[in-house]
Amino acid sequence: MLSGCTSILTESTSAGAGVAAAGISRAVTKDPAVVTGIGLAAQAVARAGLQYTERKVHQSEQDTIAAVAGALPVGGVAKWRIVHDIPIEANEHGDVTVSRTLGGADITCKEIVFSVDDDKERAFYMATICRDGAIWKWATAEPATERWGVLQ
Amino acid sequence: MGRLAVRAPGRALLPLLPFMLIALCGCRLVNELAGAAAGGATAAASANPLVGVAVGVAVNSALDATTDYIVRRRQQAEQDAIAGEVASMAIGDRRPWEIRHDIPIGNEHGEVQVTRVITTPLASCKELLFSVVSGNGEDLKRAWYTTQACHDGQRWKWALAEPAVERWGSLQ
Repeated sequence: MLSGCTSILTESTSAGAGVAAAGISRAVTKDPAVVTGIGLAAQAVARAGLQYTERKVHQSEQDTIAAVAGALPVGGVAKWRIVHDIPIEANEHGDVTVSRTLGGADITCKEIVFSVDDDKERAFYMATICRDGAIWKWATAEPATERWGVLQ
Repeated sequence: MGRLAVRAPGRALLPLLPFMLIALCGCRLVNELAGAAAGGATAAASANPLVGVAVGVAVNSALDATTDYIVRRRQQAEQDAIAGEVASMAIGDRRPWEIRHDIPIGNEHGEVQVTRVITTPLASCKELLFSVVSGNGEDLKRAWYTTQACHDGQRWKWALAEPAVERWGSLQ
């Protein structure tokens, strides 16, 4: 749905860093095992860096939708839009509405239905948001690992 | 004779071994092993470790992208099969669902029940309970899950959004 980073992007970032690091260390050492080791380590660091960046970008999209929906009553509809500073994920937009509120005395949550629109079609998704002080945050937990293992 | 009878099914399954490995171990491990093997083979042929690493990484990338694509398409087909069933179902209705893949691994079936109808100004959605049945006889297991489906104007699609990044970030 919210367009994820592709394997190619992941690999080209980390591989680029790995091969570059290996090239530099090759000038310093002649041991191919050391060179390969440094290349792979640099790859791992680059991969972790990219995942961190992508998580931050995606988190801001969730925060945007949650903030818009947090101000809505049940049945209210509003538009959401995200424009990323770092163009890893597509700028996206759509509508969001609240289908019900849930929670207890000191827990306030809302079930939301939101669309992700493009020129041709709109896709609908559901999520839950909960309020933490004045801020509304995405509250949908991860899928059961038995269902999700091979997809991560 | 007895030994042959035991071995025969094992040999018959050999062509399926790569797929079984993918199903059992997850795709990432298989890809990295294949990528490492390709990298090693190339390094041996070219005698240049840098070329070996580069080829290994490129093979990894292609395998990652391909298996991710295949696994996701198959999972999407299963989601479509489950979500498609609820189109004409009312609250409390229960009916079987089934997915049969072209490659007959990962075929699954179970039951789906609508637990709630969610009508909003934006879209019509349904909350559903579905089971995934595995095993036979005494080993039969029935795992239950919940999800949501929404109507996008043409069909019913899986609507459960991704988890909060704070919960899912370190798991991917």
